[in-house]
Amino acid sequence: AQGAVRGGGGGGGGGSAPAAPKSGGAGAVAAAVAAAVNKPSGDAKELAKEGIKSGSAGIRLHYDDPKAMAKAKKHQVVQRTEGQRKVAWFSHLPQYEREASLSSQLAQRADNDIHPEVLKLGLKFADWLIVGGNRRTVAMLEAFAQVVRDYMPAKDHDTGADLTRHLDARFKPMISYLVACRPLSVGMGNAIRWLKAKIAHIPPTQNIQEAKDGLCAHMEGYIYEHIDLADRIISGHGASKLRDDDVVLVYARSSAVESVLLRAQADGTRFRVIVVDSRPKLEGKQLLKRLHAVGVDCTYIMINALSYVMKEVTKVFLGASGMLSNGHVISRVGTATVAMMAHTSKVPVLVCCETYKFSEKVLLDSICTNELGDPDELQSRELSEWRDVADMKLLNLVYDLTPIDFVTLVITELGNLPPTSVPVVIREYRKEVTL
Amino acid sequence: RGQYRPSHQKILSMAEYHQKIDQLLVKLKRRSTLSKDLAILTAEALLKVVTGLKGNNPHKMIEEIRTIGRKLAEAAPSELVVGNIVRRILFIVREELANLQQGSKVEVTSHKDDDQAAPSMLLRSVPSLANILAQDIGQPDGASGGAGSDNVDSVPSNFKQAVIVQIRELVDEIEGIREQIADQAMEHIHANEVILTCGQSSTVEYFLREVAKRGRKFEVVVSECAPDLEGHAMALRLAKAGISATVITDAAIFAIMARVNKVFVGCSAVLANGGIIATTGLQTVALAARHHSVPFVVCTGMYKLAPVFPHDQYSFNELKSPAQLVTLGSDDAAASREVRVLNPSSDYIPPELVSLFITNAGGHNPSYIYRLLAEYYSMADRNL
Repeated sequence: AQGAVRGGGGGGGGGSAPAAPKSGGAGAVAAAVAAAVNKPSGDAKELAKEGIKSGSAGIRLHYDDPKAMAKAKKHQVVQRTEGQRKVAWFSHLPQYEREASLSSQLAQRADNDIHPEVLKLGLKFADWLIVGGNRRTVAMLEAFAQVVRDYMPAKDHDTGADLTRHLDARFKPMISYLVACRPLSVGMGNAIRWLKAKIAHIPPTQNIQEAKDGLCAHMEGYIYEHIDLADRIISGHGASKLRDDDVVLVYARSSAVESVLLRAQADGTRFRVIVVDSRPKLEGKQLLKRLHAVGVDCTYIMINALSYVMKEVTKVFLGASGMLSNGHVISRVGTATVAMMAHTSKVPVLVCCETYKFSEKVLLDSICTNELGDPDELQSRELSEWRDVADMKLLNLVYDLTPIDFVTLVITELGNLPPTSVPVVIREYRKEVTL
Repeated sequence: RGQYRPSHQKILSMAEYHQKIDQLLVKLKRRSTLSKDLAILTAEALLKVVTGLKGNNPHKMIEEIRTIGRKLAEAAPSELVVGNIVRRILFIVREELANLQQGSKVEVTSHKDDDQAAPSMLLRSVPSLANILAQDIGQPDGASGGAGSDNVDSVPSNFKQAVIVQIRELVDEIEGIREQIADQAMEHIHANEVILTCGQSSTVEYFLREVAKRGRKFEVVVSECAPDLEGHAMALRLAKAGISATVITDAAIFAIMARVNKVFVGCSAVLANGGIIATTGLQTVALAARHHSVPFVVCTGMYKLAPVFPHDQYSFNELKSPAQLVTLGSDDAAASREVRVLNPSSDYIPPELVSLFITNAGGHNPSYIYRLLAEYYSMADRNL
C-alpha cells in the first residue's frame, strides 16, 4: 500500500495498483485512490468495484460472524462487557453493558496510543453527553485536528509521506476506540473516509509542518463547508417553505430542523409548532426549550398522541442521521412513525439533511442498521429488577429507517431534492471526494 | 289500597340501592377500575335496583333502570361499558316481558287478537318493517312496554324473578369472558411467532398465557405505552409466566414491526361500525401493522360493544392530566404557561385497520359487528 501511495503521488508512471490489501481501511482506501489516479480515464466499473471492496459502503463488522469477531479481537482497543440480555434480532450489532469505567478497560499495548482529546471524546460519546450527528462529527474532527497538531515527527522522518504513513497508524486505534465507545453515525463515517483520503493525498515531499497545517485547515474547511454553512443554507431553504398560519410538527431534536424554525421565527413568519417526544431520551424537551425561548407558539405531546393532533398539522419537518442510496432515511427512532402518520394524513414530510450524511449503503428495514442503547434506560418502578426474570428483555433502539414513500422532500445545502436524488448527489458531488 | 306500601320498607330498599349506586358513582368518577369490573359493578348495582323494586310493574322497572342508568352513564361519559350494561339489562327486561307475555297471550287467546301476538314475537327477533311500524304507531306490544293499564294484570308474578335470573347470568357471562376468549387462542398463535401487544390488557394477557400453558413456544414484544408505562407490568407478568417478553418504547413500534407476525390488543369499547376505542397510540400501531401487512387483532368481550357511532378522534376522548409529561419545579419548558401539553387518553381506530375481532361470541370481521347489536340491545334504548 505504501509503495502504491508513493507511486501515485509521483504523478502516474509505472506500477499497476496492487490488489486490494488485506489490512485495515486506511490502506484499502489509499490503494483505491491510487488505483483511481493511475487510471486517468476513471473506468466507472473498476472504480465501483474498488469502492465496494474498499468499503465505500463501510467495512462493517458483523458481530454474529465468529471468524470476523475473532480477527477483530486481536486489534481490540477497549474491552467491553457483552450484554447480559441480548436481543436475537440484533445479534449482528454490538450489544454491550454500560461500563463503570471505560478508560480503565483500555488494552495496554504499544500501538494502543490514544490521544487524551480522543479519550475524553470517547467517554463523552459513551455517556451520551455529546448527542446529534453534526455535534458528534464536529467534536470528532476537532479532536482529530488536535491529534494532527500534536504529532511530533521523529528525526529524519519529516516529509509529507512520513506524515501520511504515521497518521494512518495513529488514527486506526483511535477510530476503533471511538467505535467501541459508541458506534459511529453515518456522517461521522463519511467524514473519516474523507479524512483518510485527504491524509493519503498529502504531497509526499512537502514539509511536515506545512502538511500538518494544511491538513488542519482542510478539516476546518470541511466543518465549515459541510456543516456550518450547509446548516445556514438549509435553514434558508426550509424557512422559505413556511407560510403564515402553518402548523409544523417536529420530532425529537434535530439541529437542522431547529435552525430552520429559528430562522423562520427570525424572518417573522407566524407559525406554531407541535413538538413530539418519546422515551427514554426525551430530547424533544430540549428543542421545546429553545423554541419557547424565542417565543414560538409550542405544543408538546408524546408520540402516542400523534393521531390526536395530526388533523391540524400542515407540515412535518424531520431531521436525519443519514440518508441511504435507496432514499430511506436513518433517523432517531420514532421518526418513521411520525412520517407514516403524516403520509396517511396527506401532510408533506420535509427531511432536512446535509449532503455529507448521504451514504452509498442500501438497506431495507430498521433491523439491518441500528444501534442498541443501554437497556436500563427503559427502566421504571416495575422493571427495577428486570434482570431477575429470566425471560425478560429490554430493547432500547436508537435509530430507525423511514421508507422513501413517506418522504416528500429532502432539504439540503444543494437545494430541495426528492428523496430519489440521493444517489445522484453522491455520484455527482462525491466522486471527487478525495481530491 | 292496592298501591299502599309501608313507608319504612320503601325507604330501606331505596337506601340500600342508593348506597350501591353511590359507591359505583365514586368509582366511576375516580376512573380506577377495569372495564370488566366496571361492567360487573354496574350489573350488580342494577340487580339491586330490580330486587329492591316493589311490585311487578315492568314499566316502572324500565323507567327506574333508565333513570339510574342515565346517572351512571353521565358520571363517566367516556366509559361506554356502563351504558352498554344498562342497555343490556333493559333489553333483558324487554325480552323477558315479551317472552312471558307471549306465553300468557297464548293462554288467553279469547281476549286478544291473534295478530297482536305476531308483532310481539317479531319484535323480539330480527328488526323488520313490522317492528318499526309497530313502534311508530305505538301499538301495544311486548318490547316497548305498551299501555300501563293491562300490564299489571297480564304480567305474571315470576317476571321479576326471571329478570333477576337473567341479570345474574349476564354477570356470570362477563366474569367468564376471559376463559371463553382464551379458548380460541390456540387457533391464532403458532410456534415461533412474534406477537406484538401494547400496554396492558388482561384479556390479551390471559389469551397469551393460555397458549404458553399448552406448551407452544412463541415470543412477545410489549410496547410500553408512555406515559402510563402499563406495558411494563404486562411484560413482567408474561415473562414470569415463561413467555419470552421484550419491552420496547412506543417510538420503536414501526422499527420492530418488520419482525412481528401478529398484533393482539385489547380495547375499551367496540363501536357500532366495527371500529374501536383503545388506549392512545394504538392507531399508530394499527397503521404500522397495515403498512407491514401484519394482522391487527382485537380481543374483547361483547359487553364492550356500544351502539354508538364515532365521528372523529375527539368524540369519546378525554384529555388526562399533563403532569405525567412534565417535571414540575424544574426548568422544564413544557411546564411553562404558554406551552400547551396534550395527554389524550384514547384513540379511535377505524374498522378498516382491524383485521379480526376475537370475542366470547367467536371470531368476527369488523364488518359483522353491527349485526350483533340486534342481539344485545333494543332500538328503544339507543338514547338512555
